[in-house]
Amino acid sequence: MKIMTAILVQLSLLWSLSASGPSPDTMTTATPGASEHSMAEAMFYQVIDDRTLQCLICFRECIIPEGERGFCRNKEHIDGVLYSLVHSRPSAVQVDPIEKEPQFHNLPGSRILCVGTAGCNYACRHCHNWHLSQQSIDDIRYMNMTPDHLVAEAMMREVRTISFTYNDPISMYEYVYDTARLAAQHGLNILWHSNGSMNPEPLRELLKYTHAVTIDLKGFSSHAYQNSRASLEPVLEALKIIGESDVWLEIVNLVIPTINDDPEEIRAMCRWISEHLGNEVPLHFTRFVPAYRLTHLPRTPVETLEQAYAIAREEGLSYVTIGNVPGHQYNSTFCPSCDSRVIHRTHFTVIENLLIDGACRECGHAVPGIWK
Amino acid sequence: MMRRNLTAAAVIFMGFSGFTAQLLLLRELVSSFLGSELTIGFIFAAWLLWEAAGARLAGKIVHTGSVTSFALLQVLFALVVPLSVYAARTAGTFTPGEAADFGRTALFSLLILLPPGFLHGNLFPCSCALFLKTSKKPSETAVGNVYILEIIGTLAGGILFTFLFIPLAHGFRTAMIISLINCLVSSVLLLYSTKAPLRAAAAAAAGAVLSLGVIIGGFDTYLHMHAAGRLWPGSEVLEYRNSPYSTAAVTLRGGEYTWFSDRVPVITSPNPDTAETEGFAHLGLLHHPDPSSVLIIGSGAGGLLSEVLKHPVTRADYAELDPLLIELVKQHQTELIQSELEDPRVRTVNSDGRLFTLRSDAFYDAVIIGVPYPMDLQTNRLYTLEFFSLLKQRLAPKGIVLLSMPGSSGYLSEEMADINSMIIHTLEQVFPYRKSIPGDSSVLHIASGDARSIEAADTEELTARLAARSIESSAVTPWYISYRNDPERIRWFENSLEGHEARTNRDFTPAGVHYGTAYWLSMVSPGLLSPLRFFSSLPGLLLLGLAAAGMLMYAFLRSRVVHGCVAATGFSSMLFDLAVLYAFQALFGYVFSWIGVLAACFMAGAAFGGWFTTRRLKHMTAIKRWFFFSELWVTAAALLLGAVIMFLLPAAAWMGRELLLQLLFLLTAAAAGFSTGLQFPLAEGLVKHHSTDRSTSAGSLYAADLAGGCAAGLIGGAVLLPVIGIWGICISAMVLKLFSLVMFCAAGRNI
Repeated sequence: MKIMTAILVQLSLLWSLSASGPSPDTMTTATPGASEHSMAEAMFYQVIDDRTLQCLICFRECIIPEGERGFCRNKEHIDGVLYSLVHSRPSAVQVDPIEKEPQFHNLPGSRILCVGTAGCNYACRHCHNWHLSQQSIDDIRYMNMTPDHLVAEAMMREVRTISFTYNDPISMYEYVYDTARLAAQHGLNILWHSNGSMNPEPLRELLKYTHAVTIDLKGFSSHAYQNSRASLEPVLEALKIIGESDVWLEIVNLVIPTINDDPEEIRAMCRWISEHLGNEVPLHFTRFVPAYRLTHLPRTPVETLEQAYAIAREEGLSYVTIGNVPGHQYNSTFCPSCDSRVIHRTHFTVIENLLIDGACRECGHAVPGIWK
Repeated sequence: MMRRNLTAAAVIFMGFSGFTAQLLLLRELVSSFLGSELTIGFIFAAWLLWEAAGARLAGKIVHTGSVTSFALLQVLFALVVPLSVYAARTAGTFTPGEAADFGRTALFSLLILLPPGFLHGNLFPCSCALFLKTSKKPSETAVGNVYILEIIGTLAGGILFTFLFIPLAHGFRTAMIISLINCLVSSVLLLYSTKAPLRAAAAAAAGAVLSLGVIIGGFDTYLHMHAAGRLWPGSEVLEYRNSPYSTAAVTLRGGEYTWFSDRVPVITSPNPDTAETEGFAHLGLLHHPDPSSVLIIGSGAGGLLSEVLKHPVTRADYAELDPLLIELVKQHQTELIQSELEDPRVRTVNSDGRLFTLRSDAFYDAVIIGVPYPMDLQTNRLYTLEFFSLLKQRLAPKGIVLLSMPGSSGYLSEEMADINSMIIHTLEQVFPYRKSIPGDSSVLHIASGDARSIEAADTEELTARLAARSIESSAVTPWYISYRNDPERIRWFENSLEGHEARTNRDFTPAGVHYGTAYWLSMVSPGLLSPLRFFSSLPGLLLLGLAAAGMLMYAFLRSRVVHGCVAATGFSSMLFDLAVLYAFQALFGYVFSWIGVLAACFMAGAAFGGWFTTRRLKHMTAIKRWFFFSELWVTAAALLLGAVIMFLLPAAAWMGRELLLQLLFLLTAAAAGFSTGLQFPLAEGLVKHHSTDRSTSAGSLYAADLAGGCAAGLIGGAVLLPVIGIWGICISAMVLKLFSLVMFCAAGRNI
């Protein structure tokens, strides 16, 4: 019996070694005990008692006992200190068009360096990046890239913007913050795409070094937010803070059948945006395609997206687009003053930018955004 | 005499309704499991478990010799079946549109199968007791007769389910027919019984009238559509139909039609997933200098075809894995679909894509495989070495094959890397030239036997071809081509695959199913990935060897070697059954239609084997020796079955003789069943000398048989098949039986 047990132990060890396998390029696979040397202390947390810490980055405010991690899987309590496990450990670093974020009023047609790590403080059942966001750093491959490396990479690839995306920047806050501070010194822009559930204090601190933000508004009801195991109120609070800052804001709303496609809900959302953020915040309605755990739902009817577009316009929003329907006329941006097309887009391709110094060529209406 | 005949008829109907209900529920549950056949073993095992529990506990619940008990159990069974169908269809849909995770689906399957399985298990001992009362024959013969009558009913159920119910009736209609028959038989039986109370007969008759009323009034169709509607709230469900291949549905929401196969959306019209469709069609076909003839297998209508036709195509053949999809697409045409299907260059094919490719003598410049990644045997049929070899024969010079696998443009998970490595490795064994282009949620793979189609097509050339063909595309622009075809991104993708396994995907060693299942689990039940990886990293024979050694050692130490041998035979028996079903699915793709006749043939074979031995039992002087021979025979049968499946059946498949092949499958199933059925009476004969209570000895042997069957059902499909393949399964069964044979010999005189 002992021999059999020994064989099984040997086999499982062999298996665990072979499972990690060699990694491409500079990527490494996490191994127990290898993480301590490069962990960074987390920002915004408090000591509850000698055995418990509380993370204050996002609305969850996870209470984390010794040796445990928060909801996002990225913050670990070790010996009375909260550490970020993903600082300088991105798993995805790629160059993409800025339209993918989407950011339509921010250097149209430019390229951005997209950075993502493991973990997320949401658990969306439709997440397209679930293989990153719903994983722990222990289970996926990553690179060792400090903020210096990222900035150098961006400059080498001749991009003007570093974007923290794929998973939520909230779950890699310290990495984003350190990179943003450094990037500012090198004239690079910082963009992040978030669910917007960051707590006010860390949000205000990060906005100091941020140029643009895309907020993913998952809907306008608790039902819609249940799909992400989250809640709406903290997002609205964060949106107000971003709206009050100088940072360029765009909002994206993925319209999912049965989850958040009720026209009244869409109207309430648009009205809130108009009242609290103004009419000039670009709002993108994007089409859902089955993904991750929501694989049995149909794609969003284009009619529903067009209805949402009409509602948003009725509520006074000036810059509304429809995404993930390549070729649709509302992929493009129109001047709210004269209705002429100012940026002709199809999918991620900018066919023509007709703005002159950020103003409509036809009527001279100033279109807000980052144009230089 | 009349009463005996009535009892015999009731037993036949019991077999019929039990097996039909089992098949019906299996189909509904498999559809909930995303159509994966790997769960067949699990569902069989669950049914066996509840049936065994029902049989075992029957005496404690009802008076087994009473006509009233038997008849009312049948009525209860009649009531339970439609309810179970409703539960099976809607189970796990707490969140509309969400794929049920493995744990939830497994739990629901167990719960849903409990009432009908348990009740049906109750019925068998009841019918035996009833038969004994009305028969003058000795108990062995009476029980044997019940068994044979039930098998006759089972056979009838399998045949009718395959050839009548699936093509003509929806799930609730089949369930109501089962109810009607059960209630009718029960009421007649009760009426002819002198001891049965009249009100029991009246209750059964009322059940029959109610069932008939439900059918005539069309309430079963209302239930059918109501249950389907719960799957997609807010959508109008226009169709929900079974085909030999899958369950197909059509919904309408916001002016958008969606066609589903096993609940997964496969076609959307009039607005398809433009980015995915255009990217797939154009990036792929631009690699061919002049694609004039194209074969599309899967997801062609509703966008892909119209994009393909923008190229200089003169002939486009279009097949789906499930021809019912094309029928439903034609029934609910949008303008886009109409323009596609009425284009004179398009020819729709009314058979599944793989069989069409086998029979076709046309040559194609491009073959586009548009079905999802191989997560079950049905889809895997289009991604195997054998199918790629077939495609190579159908490709014209410079011809290309296009397919896509799950992926990402930012990060490849382990499971994504594995499934892409597998497909690349399999492609490269047939096509020397290959290119992979990563996208946002999928990776486009292009393979060819000609270097010119791959190497010459750089971004400049692809863009020039886009312009020369005057292709108007919303997503694929010159900028998009340079973005997707970026050498740096392609290099990143290739680097991401380094160090990943690259097993070849074959028909009967479906590595694709293994990687596809792992990818699916990584989304819905990531906690199960580690056990899957653990089991798959162990050599299958070692795993089975250890399990067998443990089981048989236990039996040996407890002086229950015969029980151990029977359990090993039960295990092998289930593996044989699954091997035949999986081989059928790998070659034909419509096992859900034929599972009834195949499983019925297997059971009939097993019953015939049992009857064959029972008849000779009284003349046998040395049962131990005969048991030894039966052990030897089952061991050899494993090898023989493996050889038949691996060599004879594929040879017949390549000859394209479908009818002959189907016949061979039925014979193989019956022969496999016969081989395992031989042993049980011998084991009973051996054990009864050591037991005072005959029923207890038979019961414990039956339990050992079922335990082996359940264990094989649980691991056979989900673990063994994708990892070691059908041949490996047969070899494993052989090793297991060899081990039990050695144990039997070692036990010697102690038996």
